[in-house]
Amino acid sequence: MNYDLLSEFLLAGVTLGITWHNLKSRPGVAIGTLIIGLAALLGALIFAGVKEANGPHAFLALLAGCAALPLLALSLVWRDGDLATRLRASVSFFIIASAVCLWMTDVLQFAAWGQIIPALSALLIMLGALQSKKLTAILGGLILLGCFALSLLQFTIDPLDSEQQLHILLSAALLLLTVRANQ
Amino acid sequence: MNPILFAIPVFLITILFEAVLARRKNRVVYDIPDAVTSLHHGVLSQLAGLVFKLVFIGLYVTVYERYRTVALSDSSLWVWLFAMLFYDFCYYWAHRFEHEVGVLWAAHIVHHSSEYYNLSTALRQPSTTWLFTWIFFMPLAVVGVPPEVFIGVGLIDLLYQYWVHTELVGRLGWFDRVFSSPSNHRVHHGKNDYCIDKNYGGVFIIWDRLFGTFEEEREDETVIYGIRNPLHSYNPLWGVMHYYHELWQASRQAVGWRAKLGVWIAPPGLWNDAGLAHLETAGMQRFVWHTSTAVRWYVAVQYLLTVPLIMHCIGIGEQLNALQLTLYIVVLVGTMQVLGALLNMQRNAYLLEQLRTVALGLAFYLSPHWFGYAAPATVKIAILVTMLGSAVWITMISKKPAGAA
Repeated sequence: MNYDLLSEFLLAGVTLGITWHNLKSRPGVAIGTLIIGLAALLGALIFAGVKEANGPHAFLALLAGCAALPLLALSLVWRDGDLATRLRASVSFFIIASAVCLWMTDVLQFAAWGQIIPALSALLIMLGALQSKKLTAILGGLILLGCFALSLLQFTIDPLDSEQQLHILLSAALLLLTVRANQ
Repeated sequence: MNPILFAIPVFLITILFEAVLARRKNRVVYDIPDAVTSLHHGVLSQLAGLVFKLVFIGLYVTVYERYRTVALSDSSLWVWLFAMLFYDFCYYWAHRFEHEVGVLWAAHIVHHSSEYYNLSTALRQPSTTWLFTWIFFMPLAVVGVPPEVFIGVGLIDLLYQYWVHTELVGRLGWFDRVFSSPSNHRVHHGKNDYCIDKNYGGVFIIWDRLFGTFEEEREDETVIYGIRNPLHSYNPLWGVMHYYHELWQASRQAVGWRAKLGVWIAPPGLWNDAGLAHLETAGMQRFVWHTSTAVRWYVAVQYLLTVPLIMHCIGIGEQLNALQLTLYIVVLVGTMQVLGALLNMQRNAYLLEQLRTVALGLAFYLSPHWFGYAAPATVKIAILVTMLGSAVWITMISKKPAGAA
């Protein structure tokens, strides 16, 4: 079974589902998950044999970590803020964060930016989840932190490799973090 | 060779032509201080480009090399046509966000700060767009548009927009419906209620029609050009920085770090669900600083005398080392600042101008070469005489009682 394709599809399906569900009420969450979803969709295309999707997948994956995930974190923690509730603010934040990301990684050659920002975003999401005292959110935050930690430690659960594991855990985390978040 | 070098003489000749034509039609289209300030911004933008254009193009090449989908051919006409269309689409969104996001508006506001609308306004280009705006064009690199094609279509898009900055061309029928035209773009530069955040298209206006930002020029309401909080200054560096300063002040006053950061991402005027405040344009007057006619003409002549230096700097900028380039930029920016100070009638402006002309003349005459250009003795003497003559001229102007000119 092609677990690569399946795990990418799972992540794409979950994130794009969250996007659809939140497009009107929480554009910050929607834009954040949309970018992650598009990156996953392109990843699925690669494993389906479309090798041309390699470049765009890597590009969107970089922006997903450095711009979409911080947007998602800020939107989840401050649910009534402009970033969470205004489409224009969410898109503007994403664009500026993407520009900063490319400046840092490609102009200043500070490659660690691509790891520091997603890690900080995950921590912020966890803090927000703890503050909200919602079980689903706390569980989601823990899985998110866990999946980054496992990825960093190169620890995998058979028969999955680290990428597949990341995609599956990320799907679960995002689902738990966003489900009933309005309540 | 920088293609803008070839365009500069064409720009100056067409500006002169438009000014003469407007005068013959008894239309007030030009104001010397305003036009000179526009040209100053054009130069500042090119000087900033000397430093940052390579970084921007380097970024495009990096993204193209690392993340492209396919490598499109740079010799196919279809690729060029596709790239032109795609570039203009990205330009539409870049331009729209430049108007709708505070920190991007801070860069772009320069282009809208003139209260006149003429060909010189087209050259009033921002100097700090390199900060963020380039990100909007990265999709071209990801799709696989080769850097040479990207640079080419970017230049075509930029140069196309020159001619639409005029009041002397009326409506053009079907052309206005497909392309960005003088009529469409006049609306874009207006500050009337109906003009705000409209007609962003660079070459094609179809994007505005598609995304709901198109507005036709109205015959029953004169377009009033400029920004709603007028700049009221001919200082070029202040023109570049003033909105950043405004954002900084707003950010300092905001309470809490989220609000402080939010100021930079919010639209100009911050989030305002009540909509745009009405601006009464009937009877509105343009900004007139009572600079004497003698000073106005003096500054215009000095600007023309500086053009060869500007062209030389842009032409050889990439060959100079960092120190030489910085020094050359300081000389040119210093010149524009002093000319701006003269137009603003600032205290000490006459003294500064006397010092500038004498120092520039002597530096050119005494140095063995001017940033790599070994001038013949006749040219050196001619420039020394011109600059000393300018010093005498400005001294004579400064001795005239105010309002005598």
